[in-house]
Amino acid sequence: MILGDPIIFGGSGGPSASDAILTVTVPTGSTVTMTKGGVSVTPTMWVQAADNTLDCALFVISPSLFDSQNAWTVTATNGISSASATVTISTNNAYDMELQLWAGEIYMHGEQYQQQTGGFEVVRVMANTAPIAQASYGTTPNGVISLSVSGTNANGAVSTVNPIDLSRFSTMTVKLQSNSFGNNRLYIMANSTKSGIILDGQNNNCDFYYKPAGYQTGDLTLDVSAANGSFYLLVGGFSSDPTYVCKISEWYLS
Amino acid sequence: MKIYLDSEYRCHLSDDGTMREVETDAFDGKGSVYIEGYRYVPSGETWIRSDGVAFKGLMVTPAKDFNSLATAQTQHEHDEAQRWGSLGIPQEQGFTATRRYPIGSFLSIYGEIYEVISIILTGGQIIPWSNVKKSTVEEYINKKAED
Repeated sequence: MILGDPIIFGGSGGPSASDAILTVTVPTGSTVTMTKGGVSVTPTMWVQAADNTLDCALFVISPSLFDSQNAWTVTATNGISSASATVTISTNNAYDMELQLWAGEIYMHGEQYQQQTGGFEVVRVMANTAPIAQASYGTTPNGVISLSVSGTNANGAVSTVNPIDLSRFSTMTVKLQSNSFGNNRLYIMANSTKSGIILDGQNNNCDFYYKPAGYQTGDLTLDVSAANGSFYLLVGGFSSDPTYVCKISEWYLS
Repeated sequence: MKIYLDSEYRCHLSDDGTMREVETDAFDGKGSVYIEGYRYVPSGETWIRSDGVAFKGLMVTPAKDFNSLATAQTQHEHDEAQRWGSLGIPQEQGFTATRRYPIGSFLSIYGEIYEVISIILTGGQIIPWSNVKKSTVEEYINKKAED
C-alpha cells in the first residue's frame, strides 16, 4: 500500500469516522512511538511513502484519548539516534508530521542540509604488520554509517571522498556508537591529505584528531577553528582484535 | 619527547615556570614552529574553548592557522633532508621502499629516522613497522663512528 491510496473507514475493525489519524513520516527502518502521561502507543499500521526511502507510521486515536490540554510526544529512532516532536490531538482530524533522522551525509548544523560531494570511501591506512588489514563501511536506509576494521593490528577509516572547506566552521561533531575491547582505538580526524596518515595504536600522524578512551556512545567533538581551508574528514579505527565496529548516526559541522 | 603545556593546553618546547611537562610521541619528526603552534589536550582532561564548547582529550589540533604551520613543517623537513642527505641517510617519500636496506642501515620517512633491525627490505616492498625501529640523527652519527 502506498500513501495516497484511499484508506477505508467504517465497518468492523479499522478506524472509524470519529477517530483521529496521525501520520508520521520517517526514514525507512525507523521505529516510532507516541507517549503521553505514561501511556505509550505504537503505530496501527505502516505504509510506504512514494519516496521509497521513507515510511509512514499511522496512529489511529480514539475519542477517549482526545486531550486539548496535554500534548503527545512522538519519537522516531534508528536504534542509535532519535528525533521527537509534540502534537496535541483534540478532535477527529487528520494530523501529520515528518521526523528526520540523519540523512547519511555531513551537514552544516543550524542550516538546511547541504550535501557534500562524492560521498564517503574507505581509506585503508598503514597497517602495523603485513598483511594490510581489511576495512569496509556500509550505509543503511536510515543513514547510519557502519565502519568495520578487521585483522590484528589493523587500521582503517571512512573518509569523505572530497575535501570540505572548514573556513566557516569551528567544530566537527560525530555521534556514534563503537565497540571497544583490548587495545582497540577510535579516531575522528580532519586532514589536508588522505595519504600519510598513521594509526598504529600508539600515536597518530594527522593534522587534527581526537582519540577518545575506550568504548564510546554519544557526541565526539573536534576543534577545527584553526582549519582555514579544505580538509578530508575521517572516522577511523585501530583494531588489535579481530573486528572493530563503529556506527555513525550523525556527522556535522558548526 | 617532552613538551610543556600552558593553561590553554598550547604546546611549548621550554617551560617558563608556569607550565607542566608532558611526555608524548605525537610530534615526532616535527619542527619547533609546528609543535609550538599546536594544542595538546591529554586523555582524561577537557579544554573549554572561549565560546564555551568543551573538547575532551586526547585531542591534538592546531592552535594557530594550520596553513602557516604546514608551510613551516615543509621547510623543516626540507632542511632536515638536506642535513640527512649530507650525512648519507636516504629518504623514502612514503611507506614503500625504493631500494634494498641491509640490517643496521638507516632511512628516513616523513621526517623521522629509522634503523633497519629485521629482514632485508627490497625495492617495492611496503615497510613493515616491525622491521625498523625509530632512531635519531645522533644515533646514526654514533653508529657510523663505531663502524
